[in-house]
Amino acid sequence: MFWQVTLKFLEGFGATCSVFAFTLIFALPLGLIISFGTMSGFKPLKAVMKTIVWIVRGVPLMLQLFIVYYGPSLLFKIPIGDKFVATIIAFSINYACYFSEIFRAGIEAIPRGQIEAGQVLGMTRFQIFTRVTLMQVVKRIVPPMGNEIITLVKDTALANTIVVAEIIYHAKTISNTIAEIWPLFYTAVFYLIFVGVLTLLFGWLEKKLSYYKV
Amino acid sequence: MKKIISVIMAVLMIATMCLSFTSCSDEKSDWEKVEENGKLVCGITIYAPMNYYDANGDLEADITGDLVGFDTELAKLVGEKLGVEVEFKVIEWGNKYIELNSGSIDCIWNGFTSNSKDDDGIERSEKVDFTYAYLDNAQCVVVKKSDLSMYTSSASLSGKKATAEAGSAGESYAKSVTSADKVSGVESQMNTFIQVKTGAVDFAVVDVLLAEEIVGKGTYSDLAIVEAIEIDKEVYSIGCRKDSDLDEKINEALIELLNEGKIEELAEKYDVHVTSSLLEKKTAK
Repeated sequence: MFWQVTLKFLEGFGATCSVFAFTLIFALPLGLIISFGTMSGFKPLKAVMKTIVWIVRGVPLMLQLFIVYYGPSLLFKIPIGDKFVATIIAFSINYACYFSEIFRAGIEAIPRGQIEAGQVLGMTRFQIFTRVTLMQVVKRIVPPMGNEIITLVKDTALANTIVVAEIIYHAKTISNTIAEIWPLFYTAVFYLIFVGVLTLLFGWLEKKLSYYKV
Repeated sequence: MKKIISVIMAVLMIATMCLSFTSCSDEKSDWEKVEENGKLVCGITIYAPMNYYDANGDLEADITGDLVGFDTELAKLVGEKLGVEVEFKVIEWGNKYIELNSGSIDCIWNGFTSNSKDDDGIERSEKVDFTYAYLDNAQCVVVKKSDLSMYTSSASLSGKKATAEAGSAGESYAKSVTSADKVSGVESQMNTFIQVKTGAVDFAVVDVLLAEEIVGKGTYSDLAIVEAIEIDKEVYSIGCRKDSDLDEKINEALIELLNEGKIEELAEKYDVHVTSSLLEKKTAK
């Protein structure tokens, strides 16, 4: 029985991992774009972006999941069809907004003097951003990003509210079938291992990025 | 650069609006849509004996295996009669009306009690179009074995804390015998048992078919069904969208299957009871 449950959980864990991975793939670049928007000197764009960030951060992720999954079909009669796609869309938008604020904090922390120095040296804005700012931003945002990414691991469990077959969904179904509660608690092991690996990875990354240290 | 971005955003917005207007124009009936797609999507939850997994063909519920169960097999038979494939989509029971109305499923087919009211006091038959009632079911009261002697009639439940699946017929019953603020709904019937076991509530109201599968075994060996309390009979039907033509199509198929004796055969296999109202329709034909 234990082995059977573990096998089923590994299957669900695959779905958990793909929700996690796809969300990161889409949310990281999207977050950077949003952060440019919220830092833009062009007022209307800045206002629009700030409003989007406010709405997305201000509404529970579970509700956003429902809006993305049921919204299009209820409003326009175009069913989104795939629950997995809906999950990735909702998660990516949500996490991009959180990431954008971390990116903004990282970018704005770079002293203005460095940018001016770059300008004096005749570098273009793109060069200044990629060669001076970004290299320092990356290492500064590792700890807060680690926080968000670990939260993301556990937030994937929300996908079971629209019945994506991730690990909690399997645990619930199995619990229902065999009339035992332990499978639900057993899922914690999978999350702990996943987060443990990520924690080690971020520790290593932080060390690796500790250049420029005096 | 910034202006380009804002122009792109404006274009995107207009594009999505256009898309939404064009898609509103084609209105087909439910049956036409099902026929065109070649498949009937049934919203289910996993529970025995209606829709569950069986790995070795012994009809006992397993963790993996093929989807079996009375409703699973009946839906497949109806699909054959209608000439469409049947797709089973697991849903969250509390979202069943949203799933149905948003079109992500074509019907709710999972031991769906049709002669009952929802939490809001509105008859379910006003929210969905039901087919003929095909199975009999009843709710039962589950308590701790050690408390069994305390419960002799429905009056003895008054003032006690209760749980039932949110939006279920059992929840309505629980609210009627004890007060509404004493009843805490949970998302699936299965989650009610742990509440009784841990003492979070005094009793749970669940389907008798399910309770017989669970109570008194494994983790729940210290629970018992209160045989002394009988709750009104209920019947199961298949729920289709309001003003749909799909329920009539399913009804036609059900009658054909009934005349071939296939529904009674299935009922015997899964040890459930076909409603007398459906059986009467057989003699009429």
